[in-house]
Amino acid sequence: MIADLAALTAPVVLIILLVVVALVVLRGACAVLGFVLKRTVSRNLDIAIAFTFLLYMAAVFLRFKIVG
Amino acid sequence: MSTLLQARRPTVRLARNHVGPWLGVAAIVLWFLAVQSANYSRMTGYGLVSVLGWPYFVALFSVVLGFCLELFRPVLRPRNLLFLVMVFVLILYGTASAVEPVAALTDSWIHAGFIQYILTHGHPLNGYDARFSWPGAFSMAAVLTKFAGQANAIGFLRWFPLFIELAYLAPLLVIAKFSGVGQRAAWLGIVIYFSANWIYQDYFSPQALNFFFFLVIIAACLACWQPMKMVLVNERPGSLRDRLRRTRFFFTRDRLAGRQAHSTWGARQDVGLLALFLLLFLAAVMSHQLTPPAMVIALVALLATRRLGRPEFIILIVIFLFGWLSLGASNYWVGHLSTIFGSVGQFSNKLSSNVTSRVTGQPTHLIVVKLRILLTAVTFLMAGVGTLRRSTDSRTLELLVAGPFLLFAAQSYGGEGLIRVVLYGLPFSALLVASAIVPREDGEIRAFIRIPKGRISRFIDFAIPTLAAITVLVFALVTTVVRGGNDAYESFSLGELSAVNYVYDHVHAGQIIGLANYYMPIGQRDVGRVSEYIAPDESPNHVVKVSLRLLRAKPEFIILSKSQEAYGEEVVGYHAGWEKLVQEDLVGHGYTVVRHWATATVLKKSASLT
Repeated sequence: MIADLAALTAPVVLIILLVVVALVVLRGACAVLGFVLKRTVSRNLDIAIAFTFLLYMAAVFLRFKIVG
Repeated sequence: MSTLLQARRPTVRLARNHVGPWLGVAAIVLWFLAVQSANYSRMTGYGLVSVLGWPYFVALFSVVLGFCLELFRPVLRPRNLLFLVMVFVLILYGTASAVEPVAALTDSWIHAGFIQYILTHGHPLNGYDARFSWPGAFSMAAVLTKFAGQANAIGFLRWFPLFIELAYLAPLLVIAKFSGVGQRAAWLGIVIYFSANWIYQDYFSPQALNFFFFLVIIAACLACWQPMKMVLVNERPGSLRDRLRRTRFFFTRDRLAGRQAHSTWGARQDVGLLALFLLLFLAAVMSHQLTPPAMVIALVALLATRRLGRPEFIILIVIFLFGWLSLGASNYWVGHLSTIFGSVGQFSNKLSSNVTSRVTGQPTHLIVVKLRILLTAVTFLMAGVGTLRRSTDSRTLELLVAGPFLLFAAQSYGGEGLIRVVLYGLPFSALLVASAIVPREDGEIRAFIRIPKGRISRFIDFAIPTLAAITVLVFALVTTVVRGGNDAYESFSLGELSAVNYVYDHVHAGQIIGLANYYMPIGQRDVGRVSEYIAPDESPNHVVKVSLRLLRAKPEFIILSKSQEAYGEEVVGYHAGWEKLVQEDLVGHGYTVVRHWATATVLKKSASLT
């Protein structure tokens, strides 16, 4: 059971990592290239980053707990 | 008389114009003489400095004098200054490589072994060593080794400290230029960094490479972003209220969103910077445990002081850091997670393992250790004076010096954590030390201490070039002593390397090589095929326990050497000639001497013990 959970945590962490990196890079690239996002889009993007980041940290923590 | 003076004036002017570079050239010649005349075999407990003759010190004096003459000219000549800085680096960081017959430090040989394993097998060896959980730098070195057509990475070891210190010079120039100190303080700060860097972390290692990445990231941020002007209404500039209000703005929403820093680069360059940082962050998190957290702290310091406009960088590196720890380095923490997080806090234990436990050994070793502590303390003290004396637009340097101390609280890096903390702050504390001597006098944040115009300030202005020269010279002399202060046991002779190679040529898979302590050029071959047993340090009155431990471990070969003997005498406190006793004891219990060099002996287990 624990071994299965441990095996499952790695792809979960990896997928959330890729999502949050994509969102952060999108935010950075838009700002750098001068694409002015609408206020609501910008706010939603920030919320999405904050949410996925917290999700990511929780996934990492769970992986530490389960495997470690 | 006046005709004579007129005739001499162009000659005097010519001499004054070229005296700096010529002193640099003279320093190079003297340095060659110094390394030619140094006799490595005569090294004593004081390490490298014990084999250096007068030409070395005259060379050091010449280059410092030349540098200070150039530094206090009415108009600075960057090319001449750069030349003199490079000569200075050559003298301080190239001498050990030139004098010692083979590369110093056991770890650099072990790292060559890791690279050899990756070259041969194409992947790191899981579960062998914690460092293999961060294989980025080793993998890159393996690629470079193959690219250079080398059979192994040993060729890179010896001159690596000089090479990497010269590489640090490029980002340091950018950091100094854009750090907000004056031009003279910038050049002086660079030289003070090199003259105070006694921390031997520039040997062939991932941390040396990652420190370069760290400097590049800070340099790029400082060059790209400038602080927006902060206007505080109804406040007298420099007043306590003004300072407190400015401090309060450190963590406002606008500042944390990067809106109080403006980019001085174009969109294309900014995109390039984003891509470069992504690459550097990935390389850093895969190569070293401690540098990425140091990068996070430094980036937060830059954001809080209006020198970073993109907070995304901080999020990215945090994500990569935990991502690698969770996925890539799981071999390291599975089963012993407490080694990572268990030592958070625990200041007294860390202080003990970082400082107190190191102040031991013979008087020669104690002098070296105490000089290191003194040099570090003086650097921080002078940096404090620089903080009080300089006017500036942002307190970036101060935060970059203070930030790494957070690492000390959080790290689980063993006894070298505090050394790294000092190293990560050194480029910036050096600039603050320079500001103590030549402070900037304008800027929106006023200096705490301003010397009023008058006789005292005139005297200080007059004495500043001498003060700068004395500071650099004293720092460089102390660094010469303390940087090479462990070389009596951390550097190795050709005999010791021959002994190690002899053993590797005769040892079979699964067998053990025994050592009386850690100090040998070992680990560069047969990673995972053979193992080493290193006898732990015993109390000075129980040397015989060393041989007992070795006999109990029953290694196939035992190597005893000059460096191991020096470590035993200098640091552990064994009596002179202790290794001979150990050898006699081993011979009396079934080992035989199979090869002997002037500085090393190889013993082999006899058939009766097998």
